[in-house]
Amino acid sequence: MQRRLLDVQGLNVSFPSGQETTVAVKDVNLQMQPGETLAIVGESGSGKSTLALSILKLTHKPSSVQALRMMFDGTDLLHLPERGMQKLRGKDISMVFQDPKTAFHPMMPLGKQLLEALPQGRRREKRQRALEMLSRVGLPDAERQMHAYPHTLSGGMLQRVMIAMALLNQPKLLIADEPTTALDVTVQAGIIRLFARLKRQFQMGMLFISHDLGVVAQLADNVAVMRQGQIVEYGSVERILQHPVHPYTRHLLQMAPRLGGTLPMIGGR
Amino acid sequence: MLSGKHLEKRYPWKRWVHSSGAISAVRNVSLRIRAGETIGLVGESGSGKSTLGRCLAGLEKPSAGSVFYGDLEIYSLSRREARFMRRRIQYIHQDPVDALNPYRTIGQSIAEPLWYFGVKNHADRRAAAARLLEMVELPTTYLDKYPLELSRGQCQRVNIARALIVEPEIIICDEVISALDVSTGVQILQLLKELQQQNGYGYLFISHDLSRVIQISDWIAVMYMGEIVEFAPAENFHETALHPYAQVLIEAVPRLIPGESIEALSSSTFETPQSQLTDVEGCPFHPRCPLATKRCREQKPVLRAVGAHRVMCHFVEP
Repeated sequence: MQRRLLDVQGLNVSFPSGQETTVAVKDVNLQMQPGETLAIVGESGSGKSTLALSILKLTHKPSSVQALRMMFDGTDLLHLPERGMQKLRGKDISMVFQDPKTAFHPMMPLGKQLLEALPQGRRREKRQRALEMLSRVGLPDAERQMHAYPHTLSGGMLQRVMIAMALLNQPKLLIADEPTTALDVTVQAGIIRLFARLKRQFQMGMLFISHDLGVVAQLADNVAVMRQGQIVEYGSVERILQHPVHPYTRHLLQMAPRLGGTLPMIGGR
Repeated sequence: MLSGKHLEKRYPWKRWVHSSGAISAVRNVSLRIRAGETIGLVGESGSGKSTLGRCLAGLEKPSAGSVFYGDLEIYSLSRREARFMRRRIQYIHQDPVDALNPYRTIGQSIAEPLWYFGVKNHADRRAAAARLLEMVELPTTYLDKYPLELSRGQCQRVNIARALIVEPEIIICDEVISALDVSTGVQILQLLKELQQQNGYGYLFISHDLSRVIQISDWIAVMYMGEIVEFAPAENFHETALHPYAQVLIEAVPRLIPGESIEALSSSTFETPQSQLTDVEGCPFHPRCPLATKRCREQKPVLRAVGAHRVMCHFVEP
């Protein structure tokens, strides 16, 4: 059997607060094959972002991350020291965040921020690679945008720059945390198309976090539905969308925006 | 009834001594909101839909054109009359938590407008706030809570209660569910619908999410670069839309069908709109339009009736 890209078993993440402890992720198991797109779907507070951050060991302190197993491409993340994690982050595992307007340094040109992702190599070559990547993510006028400051770009264009930055080192796993939520519907459609194309071209695994089943339907191979820190349903995207078993999955599907019809009903109204 | 006639809003800008100009956020828009009716206003960010909403609500004086509440022009009223007008037109903001003062209790926030409208007795105001909390289906024990103790959805209910306490006729809802979870948003929409059925409010519902707007509106107004490019009945709008931009908005709604190849969709139309600093000659949508011809680049189409729709496009024949 092929080596798994990600294998997480019995993951628990909790945040102590005063006398009590808040458990954000409860007993989660995940497996991803190389090149697979796994979508994590849930409403706010379901623990989906915490789950993603715990894979990168970036959860806010004080937090406790415990697992039976957490393997990434043959590396044991559980016992990897912080130095090792630093080498992984941004190289083998990279991340795209929800709000592109706050993810960039506001007073540094975009080109400089992009090149920070490439620690080694000659400046000219690094620049060349960054430019190439910017044009691959569909940013017009890449040469000029390298000197631009973040506020001069629209949200959709900035999100493209962030995706380019995440892909510069050709990661094996890309974690995208609600990458289209802060964008307009039309821009969102453009970014979804971009993700669909890039995942095919780069053959990378993608952990795609979203609250919108419509976005997930077009990108994911498998879907994990999360609620209150637990995965309540896990399966292929076709099965989850066409034959949902768990009542919560059915509820989410019913609530999802769709064209036509009337407003869905809640609570037997 | 609230109606805007030939509204224009320009924001002047100045970068250097020699370069200045104006951004036209709203260009020659006329729109009427009747009591008991919902108009869904859709468009991308920057299309001017919020500016139009603010002009209609009496919050932003338009550069040209007029807004009538009944037969009163709301920007030329005396202070006393303006106060009466403000009572009738209310506005609900996008971010439910930011819209509430964190240092005030829910009860204080809901009841504050009443003080300005002459209810000086504390007990009366508190009783009214309690009644409104019941109307938006929150327990009256919330009167003494602070916004941070509430969820976003509950905060939005408080905002609705605050807008309703002055007994308005027209309510402008600016992206009221964009900051909420999907099912919380549905609950808020249900509440707004029920309140409309009970009290006959007229809504202007501003949103970029066409799928939800179709579900709750009677009419749809599609806005692009400050202009309304299509105005049509909401029923089956996703099948009857005529303007190419309306069709782009419909295409952009994610479908719940796995594997449906989104890459097959036409591409250039999903890019960001062009700069509003420069005026586009001809049809404002032509740089992104898949159908654009020489005529579209040179001649600006006018809004004209095609069946029950009103459309601004050369290609749509009556």
